[in-house]
Amino acid sequence: MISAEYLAYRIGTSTAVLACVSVLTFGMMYLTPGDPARAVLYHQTGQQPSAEAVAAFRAEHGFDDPFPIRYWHWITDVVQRDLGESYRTGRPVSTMIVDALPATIELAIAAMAVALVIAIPTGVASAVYRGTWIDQASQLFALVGVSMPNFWLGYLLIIVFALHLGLAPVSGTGGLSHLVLPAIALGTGMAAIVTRLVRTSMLDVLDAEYVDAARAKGTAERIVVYKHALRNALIPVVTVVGLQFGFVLNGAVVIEIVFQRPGLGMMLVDAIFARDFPVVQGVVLIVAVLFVVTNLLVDLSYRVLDPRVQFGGEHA
Amino acid sequence: MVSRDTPLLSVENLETHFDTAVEPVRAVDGASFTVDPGEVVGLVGESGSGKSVTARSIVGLESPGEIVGGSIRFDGTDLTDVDDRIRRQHRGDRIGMVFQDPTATLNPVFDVGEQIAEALRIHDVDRQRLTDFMHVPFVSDRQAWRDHRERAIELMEQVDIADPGSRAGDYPHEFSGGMAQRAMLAIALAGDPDLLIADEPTTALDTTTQATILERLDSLAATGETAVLLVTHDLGIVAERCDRVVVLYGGQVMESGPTEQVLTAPEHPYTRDLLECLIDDAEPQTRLSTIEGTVPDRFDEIGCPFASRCDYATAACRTSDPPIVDPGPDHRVVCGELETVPDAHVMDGANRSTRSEPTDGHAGSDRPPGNERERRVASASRTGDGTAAILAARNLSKRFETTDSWVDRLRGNRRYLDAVEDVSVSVERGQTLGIVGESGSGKSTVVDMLVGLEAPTSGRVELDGNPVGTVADRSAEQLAKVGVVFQHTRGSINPRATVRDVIAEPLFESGWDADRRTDRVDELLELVDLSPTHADRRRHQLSGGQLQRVAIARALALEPAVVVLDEPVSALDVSNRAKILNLLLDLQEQLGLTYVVVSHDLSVVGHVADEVLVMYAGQVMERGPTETLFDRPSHPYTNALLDAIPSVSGDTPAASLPGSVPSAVDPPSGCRFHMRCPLAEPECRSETPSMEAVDDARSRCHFASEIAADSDDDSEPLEHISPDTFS
Ligand code: SF4
Ligand code: SF4
Repeated sequence: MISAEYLAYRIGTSTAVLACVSVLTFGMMYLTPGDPARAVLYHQTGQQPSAEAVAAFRAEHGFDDPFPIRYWHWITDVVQRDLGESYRTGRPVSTMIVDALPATIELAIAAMAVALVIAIPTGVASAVYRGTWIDQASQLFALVGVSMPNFWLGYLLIIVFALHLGLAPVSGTGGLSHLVLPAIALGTGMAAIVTRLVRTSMLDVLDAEYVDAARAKGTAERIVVYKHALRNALIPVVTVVGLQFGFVLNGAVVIEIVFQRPGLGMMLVDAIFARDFPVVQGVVLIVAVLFVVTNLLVDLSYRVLDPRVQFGGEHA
Repeated sequence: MVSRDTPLLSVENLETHFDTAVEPVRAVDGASFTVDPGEVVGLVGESGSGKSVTARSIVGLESPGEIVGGSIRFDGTDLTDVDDRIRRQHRGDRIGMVFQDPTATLNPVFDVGEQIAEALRIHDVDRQRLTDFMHVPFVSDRQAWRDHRERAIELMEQVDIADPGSRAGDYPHEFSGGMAQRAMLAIALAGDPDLLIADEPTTALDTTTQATILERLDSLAATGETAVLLVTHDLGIVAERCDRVVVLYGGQVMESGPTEQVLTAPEHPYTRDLLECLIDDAEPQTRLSTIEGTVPDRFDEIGCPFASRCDYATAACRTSDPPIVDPGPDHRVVCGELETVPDAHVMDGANRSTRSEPTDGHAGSDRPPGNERERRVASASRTGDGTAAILAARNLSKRFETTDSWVDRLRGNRRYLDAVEDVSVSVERGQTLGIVGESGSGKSTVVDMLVGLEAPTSGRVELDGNPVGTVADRSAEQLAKVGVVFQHTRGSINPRATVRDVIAEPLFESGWDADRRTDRVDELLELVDLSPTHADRRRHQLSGGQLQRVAIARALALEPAVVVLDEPVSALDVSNRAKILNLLLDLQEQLGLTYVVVSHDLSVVGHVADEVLVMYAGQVMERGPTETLFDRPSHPYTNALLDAIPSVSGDTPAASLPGSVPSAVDPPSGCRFHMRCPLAEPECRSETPSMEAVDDARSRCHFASEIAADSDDDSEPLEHISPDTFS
């Protein structure tokens, strides 16, 4: 099992990563061209703001303080779960994120589910029937799936299933029917990657001596494949799938825009166009936290799955 | 029930082929032999002779090969002629199998108890759904699950796994090789098979463990219920354990017959060559006889497969299949030139060393005859205190911390493992030091410290009389001075790199330019008898022997004075082992090298070393000149290691040493060896023996001089734990 020591180490490094991310996120604002205050006001009013208005805005939001001080203010607020308020609406950013997050996570999880449901059986079949038409078909699927951009697939699905066949709603949120097309659009690329991975990993494992040893016991082939081989083959798959979750979140942002689904993605895009910096910073930070935390969980689950992984530099 | 008068297994003209892009490789090419009920049959040959594929074909594990001809009749059923289901029922139920590398044959993600229980579950005909095998809560039958687990623990007890109740919950990586092989044996025996196929079951194990496993197989056959097909490259094992032997080459049977007859009066040139490769009674530090050439990747369809390497081959051997000759009852030889092959009784020691000269390599052809060791011992400046030592270790100790949780660490509950305690060794220029011991003896840790991969906790390593630190602290010159050949060569070589890259790596790292590297690699290839064509090959295109040569060439790249070799031949078959040992002796002579050779096999160390260090549980048990240790061991552990060497010429089978090396976390009180020592007295448990001089050797035993005196008169062998303890 996982030792407390290892856990402390991993949490420590994860925190360090997040600290760096927070500095970069906050610093982003300084990298955008022009005076941010001016840009914000311009977007809000649609005309060139007066010098007084700019000065007032700067003073109100503490723009005139040096960077370290402003960062310090921001980060101390952040750790108290206060991400500031939207320049545009004045709503607390944290509330906005809490409202938008479930929709995005829902989409990402649905996409993962789609990916795994497709990929595991396909990958296993591909490996078991290596070199047959089953293998070739699944490899072709993997190739197409990987090369197809998810937004393109999204539009394709909208055109075919929503507009032509009228089988699913085009956009927005709602019940399961609103989730199906975006999940497929987002999950297919992932499914393709995972199929390949399951296939290679399975082929590797099927070659292992312990698989032959299991056969030598007289074990039925399906038990050899699904018990002995698959469990081992999934070890690397779990890692990759977990790492991919971060990318799936990124993809979700894109797919949300394609399907006009409210969520973090839509919120981020709107905020970027409006130069609504607190919202941008908040969303980016949350996505980074999700990314780091999933990685941590993946790593830990990997260690539970594979009893050989040792902790803390032991010597046998 | 198996009938007693027909063979249990009868393999006839078996052909198993592997499809390749060019033409199929005929791995098994018409092999025929039988196994009677309750018999132990040895299937012998070099790597690549087809013995493993033959064994696997019997249980239907020939894939990716394919059985294309012949029959495998098992108790009346032709296994090549039934559907997969029936074939599968025979596996596990009637035929059990034990594989070579026990740590690779247990599934790493299930505990050992479960893997044994599974072998029982297979016979539970009503519960063959996937869920019955996956232990899904509420779906799987918990009672059945528990019953199987209990039975599994009983089986573990039967194969001498101590504390089976708690060990059943351990994962394979927590098992030593010997224990893992016992667990495999328990799996194979779960179905009470009529035939047990053991494919090189002990090659990956310590010699002492090897003997226990083989004894277990022996006792199994002795009950008359189970026949054993023992696949091995080692005729020493065959001599001691098998009723009959089948010698395989090129997928065909070359000779078969009763062990006694085949090994004392071998007829076939291949059988003779295999016998001659053994270290057995060879003069120490002389070249061993080898079999010329290597096993080819594919054989010609017509003619004797051995023709390309046979000393007696004629044109007829290549153009027509050799006839089958019956020199005695049940003894068959497939050779057309038996008249010209000298009679078997000529096969003696003299023949051994003379014939070997021209067969392998060029390096040692001008080696003067005579006992090399005596010559070198005489010329070496033996100062005893090791002042002339090129590499020395002074009072080395290594302690690893094994505290697993930081909570314990904060509380101060630290746990340590003393892998090595107070070991001093030294080796003089041009000499060979052998370090021998079972796994867990600490020998590899000593090597790691000598070459600077680990820093000693106390004590120091000296190179040329100067203290040196770890690799990071050593100067380029000091690093170049020590070459290392690591254990598990296959694993330590990058699969994507070419041989040239592998050998050039140390050169590259010390900044040689491309031209000089190329020249040096060419030189090195020649030195280790590899042809220039090997330079572009990669790991998977090399045989075990060739890989070992690559590893040696790489170790020699920077012209070291000392080469440290960790288990240099343990992964090789007898003929390759002989060739590598010859190569090492040649290189030593040619380049004036100093060796430190580490092995679990005392016969290997004994053949090459001038001085031997016997280690046990982190301590030196005995050290001294090789002859003294072999002729007059003064420590019971040395005795046990000597007795565990299988031999063709010995009259008693190799004796096992029960138990295993104790954990260094909690070393036993008194003498570390007392729990396994056949001569232990009560005082051994409480009083720690110190190193005591016995003539020119030193031994850590309270009764060192008595034991030496005892082995000196050579009449009564010391009382050892008898093999019966295991049956
Ligand atoms: S048949 Fe010819 S080549 Fe084959 S072993 Fe006999 S003598 Fe040698
Ligand atoms: S001291 Fe005792 S236990 Fe140790 S080796 Fe000698 S006789 Fe055996």
